[in-house]
Amino acid sequence: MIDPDVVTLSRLQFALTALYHFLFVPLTLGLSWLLAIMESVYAMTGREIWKRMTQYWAVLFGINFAMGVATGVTMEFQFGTNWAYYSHYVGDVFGTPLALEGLMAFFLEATFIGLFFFGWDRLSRVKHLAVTWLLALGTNLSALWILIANGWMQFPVGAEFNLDTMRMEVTSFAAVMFNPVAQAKFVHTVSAGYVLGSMFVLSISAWHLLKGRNVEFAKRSMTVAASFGLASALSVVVLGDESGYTVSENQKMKLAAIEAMWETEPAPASFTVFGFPDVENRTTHFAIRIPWVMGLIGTRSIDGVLPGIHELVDEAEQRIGKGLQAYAAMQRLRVDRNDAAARAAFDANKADLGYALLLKRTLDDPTKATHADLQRAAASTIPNVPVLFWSFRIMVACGVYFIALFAYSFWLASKRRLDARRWYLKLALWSLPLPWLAIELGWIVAEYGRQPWAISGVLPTALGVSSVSAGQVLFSIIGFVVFYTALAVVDAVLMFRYARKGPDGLGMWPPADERAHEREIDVGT
Amino acid sequence: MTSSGHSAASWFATRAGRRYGIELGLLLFAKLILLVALYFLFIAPQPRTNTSPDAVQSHLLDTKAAAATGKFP
Repeated sequence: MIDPDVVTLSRLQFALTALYHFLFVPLTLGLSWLLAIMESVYAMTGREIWKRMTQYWAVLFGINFAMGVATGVTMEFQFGTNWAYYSHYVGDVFGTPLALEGLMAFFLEATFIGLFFFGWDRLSRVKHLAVTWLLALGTNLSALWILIANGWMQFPVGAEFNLDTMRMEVTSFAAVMFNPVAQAKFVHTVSAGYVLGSMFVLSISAWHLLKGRNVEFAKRSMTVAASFGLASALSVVVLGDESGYTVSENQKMKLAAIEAMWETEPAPASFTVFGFPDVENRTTHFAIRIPWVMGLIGTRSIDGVLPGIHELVDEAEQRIGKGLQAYAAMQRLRVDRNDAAARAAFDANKADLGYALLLKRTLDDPTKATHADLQRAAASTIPNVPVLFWSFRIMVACGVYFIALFAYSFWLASKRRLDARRWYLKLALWSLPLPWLAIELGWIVAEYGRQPWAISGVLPTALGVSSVSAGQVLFSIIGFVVFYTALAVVDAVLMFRYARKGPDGLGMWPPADERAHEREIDVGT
Repeated sequence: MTSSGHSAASWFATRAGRRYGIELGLLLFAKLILLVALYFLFIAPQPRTNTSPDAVQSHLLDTKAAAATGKFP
């Protein structure tokens, strides 16, 4: 049996660091493209204000980058300390995209960020623009490799278990790279980052307009943010639909939990807009359903069936039974490596070995499991339904709101009336935290919805933890919390300071000769 | 100068820009120090888990009694 406290604390530590790291990453993803767009306008028109806009938003981008960089390193620490068995079991597959992220993407990003900040007076306009685009590309490639690794945890393809080395090994790297779940997650996640970047620029510019400062600067920034934000917000929904479709294909239990769909409905299934999932009685109270919608979204057909939670639990119970045969065969092979019958039994059932390992969470010896144990283990494949149900709905509501806000902003920008309505500027300002909320909830849906698996269907989370004590994990959590809280305070102080100063306060815009002219006018009047 | 005209020097080369660069540099340096401290204070003292194939096999297959005696089955 496994100490549940160690599992809970290890998961808590990883979730805290991942959620924290994920506050910075999407903003870097989004702002990098906005910088590239602004600088492209400067390169094409030669108008100084666009260069200064690029530099001003680069100041905030730099703070975010400096604060965010290396906050993900502590997750790598945890793979070694808290998740040693996980690292061994799947490290051959999972480690490759992580290494490629460091070698290919992060080095590209880190190199070009230096050139970006220090190359303004040393590189020609076009060369500097190329640097900015490469910086954005490197940032996004970084996300690609991370999400390939994460996609494999959701849908493990291109690998199989090797009985001799006791770990998963790659059989097709192309399958790992072009994993449909990873690809769908990548485009959905980066689009969400673009929405965040756009909202960041929109909100801070709105604040400047409310204060009547940096008007031309802020209006131009808002125009770029509104255009890019609208395209990104629409992309998030379209690509999110693709991501949802891959979930319906490969992670049926997660989808059923998101929908609180306890029973299999006749095709096409309805979509539950609202309701209160009741885990104990396995029902959803006060459910408001729209007929057909879920079936059409989830299967893209009118006759595709989406299985409900009860049916999937029954299926899991059958797979646990088959997995136990693989488990028993492994035990026999341990005694005699040449036992051909055991080898054949293992090969026939190894796809379900992970399901048998679910029993290890509560039973010392899974082969002694009773029917009740099997039922309990099968029921444990249901993730936390209320959390997924509400996280998903709040995330989607935020997404719809972003489309509306950016569409309205785009319309105002096209009419050159961005500063005409104070209520709109206040709304834009106070909308700033929402993309972060939506992004973090998206992470919860993806990762919390994967439970009880570390690798879906292959390795239960509980089996991945190291042989450490709960006290040791708690000790390092305290260290991480202290470290990250200090970082968050520094980040907030720097961001607020530079955002409030604005281009005028930083002596960035208007240029010195124009400021002198303005002072003369002030003195004259 | 107006919004179109000659390209002025980068803001990052001005006094305020240099100060910003120094602040970020110091921040990164402080982070590195903290990260190293975090590693040596909280990570390095933790025991290393044995993840050899035999140990993983034992982790997956052994019962408590077998693990205690080292005998299997």
